Amino acid sequence: MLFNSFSFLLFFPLVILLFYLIRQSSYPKLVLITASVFFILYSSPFSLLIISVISILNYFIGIQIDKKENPDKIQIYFILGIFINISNLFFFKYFNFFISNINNLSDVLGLIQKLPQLNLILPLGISFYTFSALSYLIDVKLENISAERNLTSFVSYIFFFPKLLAGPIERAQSFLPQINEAKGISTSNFSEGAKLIIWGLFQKLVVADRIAIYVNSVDPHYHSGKTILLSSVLYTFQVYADFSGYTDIARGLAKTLGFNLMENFKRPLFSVSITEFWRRWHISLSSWVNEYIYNPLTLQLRDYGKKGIILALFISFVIVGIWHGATWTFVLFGIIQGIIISIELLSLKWRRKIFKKTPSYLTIILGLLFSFSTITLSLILFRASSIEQASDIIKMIFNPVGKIYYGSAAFILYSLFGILIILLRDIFVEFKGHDIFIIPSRFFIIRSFLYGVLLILIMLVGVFDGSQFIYFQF
Amino acid sequence: MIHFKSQIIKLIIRIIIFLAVLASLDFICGGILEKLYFNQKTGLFYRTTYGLEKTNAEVLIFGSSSANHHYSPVVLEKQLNLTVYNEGRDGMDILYHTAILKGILKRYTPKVIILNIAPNELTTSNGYDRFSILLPYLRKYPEMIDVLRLKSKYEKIKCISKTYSYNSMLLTIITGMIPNKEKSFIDKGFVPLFDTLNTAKTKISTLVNDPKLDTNRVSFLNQFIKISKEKGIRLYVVFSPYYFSDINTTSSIEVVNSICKQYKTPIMNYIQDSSFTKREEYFVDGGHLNINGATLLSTKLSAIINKDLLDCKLEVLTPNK
Repeated sequence: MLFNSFSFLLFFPLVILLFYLIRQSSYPKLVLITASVFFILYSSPFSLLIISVISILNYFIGIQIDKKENPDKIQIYFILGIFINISNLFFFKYFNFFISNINNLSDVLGLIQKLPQLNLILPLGISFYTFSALSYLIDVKLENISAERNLTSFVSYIFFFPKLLAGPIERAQSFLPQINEAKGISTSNFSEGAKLIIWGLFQKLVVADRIAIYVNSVDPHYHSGKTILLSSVLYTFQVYADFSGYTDIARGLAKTLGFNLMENFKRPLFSVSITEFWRRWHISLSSWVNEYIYNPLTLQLRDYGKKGIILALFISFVIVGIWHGATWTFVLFGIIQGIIISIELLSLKWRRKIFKKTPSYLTIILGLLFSFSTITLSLILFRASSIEQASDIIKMIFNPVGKIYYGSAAFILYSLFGILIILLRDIFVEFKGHDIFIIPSRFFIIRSFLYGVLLILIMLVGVFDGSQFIYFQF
Repeated sequence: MIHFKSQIIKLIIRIIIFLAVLASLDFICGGILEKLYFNQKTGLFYRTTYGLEKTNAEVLIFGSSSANHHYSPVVLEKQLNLTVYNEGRDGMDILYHTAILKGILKRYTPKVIILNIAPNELTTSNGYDRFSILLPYLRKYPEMIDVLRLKSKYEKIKCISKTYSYNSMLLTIITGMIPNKEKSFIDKGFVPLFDTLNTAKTKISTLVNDPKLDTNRVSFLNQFIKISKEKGIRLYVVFSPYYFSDINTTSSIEVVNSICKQYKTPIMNYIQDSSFTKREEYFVDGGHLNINGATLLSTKLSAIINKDLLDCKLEVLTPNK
């Protein structure tokens, strides 16, 4: 069930109604679990089975780790927990990729025997809840949190439908206390949530899905280099609007139920370096990798100085890349990010020296252009079916001959309008410190009127084909 | 408990106020758009409205881009001595045209219909989203929901919003309000193409068979032919010429042939017609004729129709009841 579908529009008010009506007992958790179960069942009953088994196993293993009895026993349970989560993710997401590479290697070595691939269905949200469960076990092991003793609370944490399909990858530390708190009805939570939902829908339906019509119609076999360049630039805006839109809807849905989910984006298109970009883009993933992979690795490799840091960076970004999907394009995506960030790290001192001599506005403009073009080129790997195709596309971009295909005038105007609104909002938040969509009027009727106008605008220029969110595939 | 009750009441009141504001905005915005839409003086939407609500032409031409660009009402009128209107529309297939035909038949019954069918018209690859252009007419022609329901089962509920009916149409409506001199060549729905194919510069796409048939499209074609037959309309099914094609038939064409055979509907297949094949001067691309090609096709077709109408004049003028 997609957030931008009509079925969800019928489903969610029912959940809110039930949740508010029985909020003062232990039943709200049951309402959340039931709603999440229905949400998963609606799309993939098989996914429900997998997520249930994983939740229950993590619940029991967390308690065993938290017993603090025998350190060896704790270690065994911890390794078992990590193994269960990673092998579950590996099996469903990476097994066929692994087998196909083994078979390719067999071809190279001249071996005839081929391993069969399995017909696997990728369970919904597996990459997201696996990382949530892993961070939970690590935090329990490091005694950052106590294991959750209440099964319904723990299941609510893993199952919580607003974040299940595409995050944010919420930490147990911040989410479990919210689950266990008694929720009161709050009109401010409700209205804040509704604002986030409306803004998220705008990003998804008006911007991302509108651009998608053009991007999907561009074919590297038939269109010119200039057209490929335009569609690649637009694709960067599409991915941003799509994922940021999804996250805002998810955060808005959670907020109406009284839960705070973490921010996943902080105006990433205003980054002046790739290092900064990853501090602003998909924050729940980058901070997860930073906390649970990069920091422990740099600690382990501290004796190797800068080389150790670069190795840790490299490993972290390969994991970020492969987290997105089981193809070499995603591995390469991670490697490229790792290389660029390593170069940025190594060149920091002399870049600072140069920047001291250049006007700050020029430094910012060059930085913005560098990060935007690097991300645009990197995102080609997101869409390309193979590294060869990505390389052909990049070659075409650098050889921009032929006519440019714009689609229709309406497409260009609608897309530019959407992009302009997103950038305008980001500029206000970034430089003025306030959100133009948080309408400050004291009068509810005026706020209602302005949000009503935004909804009408969505109905007027949004794309209502119920298309998928890009990050669902991950 | 008192606090909870007051919060709930406050929330409900706010939701009601917001919904009332939203409904009013939707009513005003949708009302303005409706007014603008149905008062256009030119453009795509104007032609659709005219073709559905105003034309009384004796001959109607249905079909996608090929129909719209290949059949000249001026040529056909001269040859047939009947009034003609071209209902063809880019990208619209039999689903759209069945809905339009049903709408027209509420008002009057044309004598002749020329239905141009694309060689892969009945396949699944086209999707249903494009039929949202029928939404502005849904209130007046509720039977159009049969097509719109294929897009989404909730389409009727979505149309509670007046604005939704005009989704993504704003710019086209605005351009339709401005009289456009450039488009003055558009005559009775026919949009001629003026370029000439240059095979040295243009990659020619040839006809390929798409075997995945869409049962909905097959069923709507069946309905289209059946309704025409029941109303006593003389229907001609035409496959337009291709610049070059290795094949003369596709899965869609075979289905069309069998349905037409069932209803004894004449078919004219020009896909490999030697008057057109590899004649650059008649084409703009591999599958579309220019004004010269359209004039030739209209002339050839009208000669056949003229003869056929003379042979079965009584049948045409006496609808089956």
